Amino acid sequence: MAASAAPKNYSRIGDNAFKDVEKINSELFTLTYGAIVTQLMKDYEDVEAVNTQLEKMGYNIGVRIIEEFLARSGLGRCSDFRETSEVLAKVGLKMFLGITAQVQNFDSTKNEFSLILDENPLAEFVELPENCGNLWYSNVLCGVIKGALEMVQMKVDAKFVKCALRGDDQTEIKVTFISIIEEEVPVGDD
Amino acid sequence: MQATQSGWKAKEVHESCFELLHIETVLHYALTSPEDCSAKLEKIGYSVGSRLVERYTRERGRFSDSLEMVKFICKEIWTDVFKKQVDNLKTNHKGIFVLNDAKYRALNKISASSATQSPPPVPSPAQLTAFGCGLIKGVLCSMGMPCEVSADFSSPNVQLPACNFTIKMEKDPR
Repeated sequence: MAASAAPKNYSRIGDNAFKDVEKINSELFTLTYGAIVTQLMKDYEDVEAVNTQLEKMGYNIGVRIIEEFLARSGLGRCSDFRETSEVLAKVGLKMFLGITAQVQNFDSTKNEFSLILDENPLAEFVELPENCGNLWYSNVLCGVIKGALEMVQMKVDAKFVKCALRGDDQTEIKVTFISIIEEEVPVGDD
Repeated sequence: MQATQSGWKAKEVHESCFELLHIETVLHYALTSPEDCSAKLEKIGYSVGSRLVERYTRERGRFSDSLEMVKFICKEIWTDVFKKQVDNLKTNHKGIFVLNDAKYRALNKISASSATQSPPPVPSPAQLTAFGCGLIKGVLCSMGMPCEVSADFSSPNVQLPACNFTIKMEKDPR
């Protein structure tokens, strides 16, 4: 772990940010997300296609959400991927979903970590029907992570590996660092 | 922490979670199935409305008539979902209600950001209000008041981001 003179208290930053934002009842959000997933399941024959759509939609949301995140958190560039994991778990998820995740299994060689969600507002009181075997219900979150990090020049992969809705013992997203995205210098013609 | 009469659990999320999810869903359907985009969004709103009612009536019990129900939509439900009350309610007392929202949230966001919003399609006002129509319809139909709900933003005295939601009850209210 990188030693710094004053280690940032990410939990406190996340809590303070969440305190300040306008909020709505999470149940409304849960119901809306559930209705969307249900409709997508009707739209597409194939559950994998629903997973893909959820991720795509999440990606677009992530691209938009990063601006507010940066403004409210006041955080600058992360010095390393481990810092990214902590910021995501303690500040990002807190600011928007009001939850904190745990970072586990940080692997410096593979440059990946697991996010363990103890709570998941998207899935509260949700029961998956029988024919949803391969559905990652909350896959929108993976898209949000990818989209948001891409806006800060980080290309990552984010995938569910476990989900409580499927009967797993926990809800876990694996985030893998792929590459830094070089900022494109626009060809000036204006 | 927001106080509501419905007595829901105190768990909350950032309001932009809902807003961004809604807008993204509108964009998704505007792009992938433009011909029934509004219909699908209305179905989603309907589902949310009918589920919300379950929660509300558990706390409150039954409503005595349709006017009381519509007023509840204008105040409590609109506040919980859109963070404001409906600005104006009119009725002909013969089963037609017109709800005026002077600044409907989804329309507000789009008109504010349309300058920077890059890729087409820019969703139409009809697509942006479909969820709201479905929400109202879902609430009323689940309360045993079948109806049709439509949104109007084209009247001379209704300018974006204002919107009129018109409820037409299928049978005479008690």
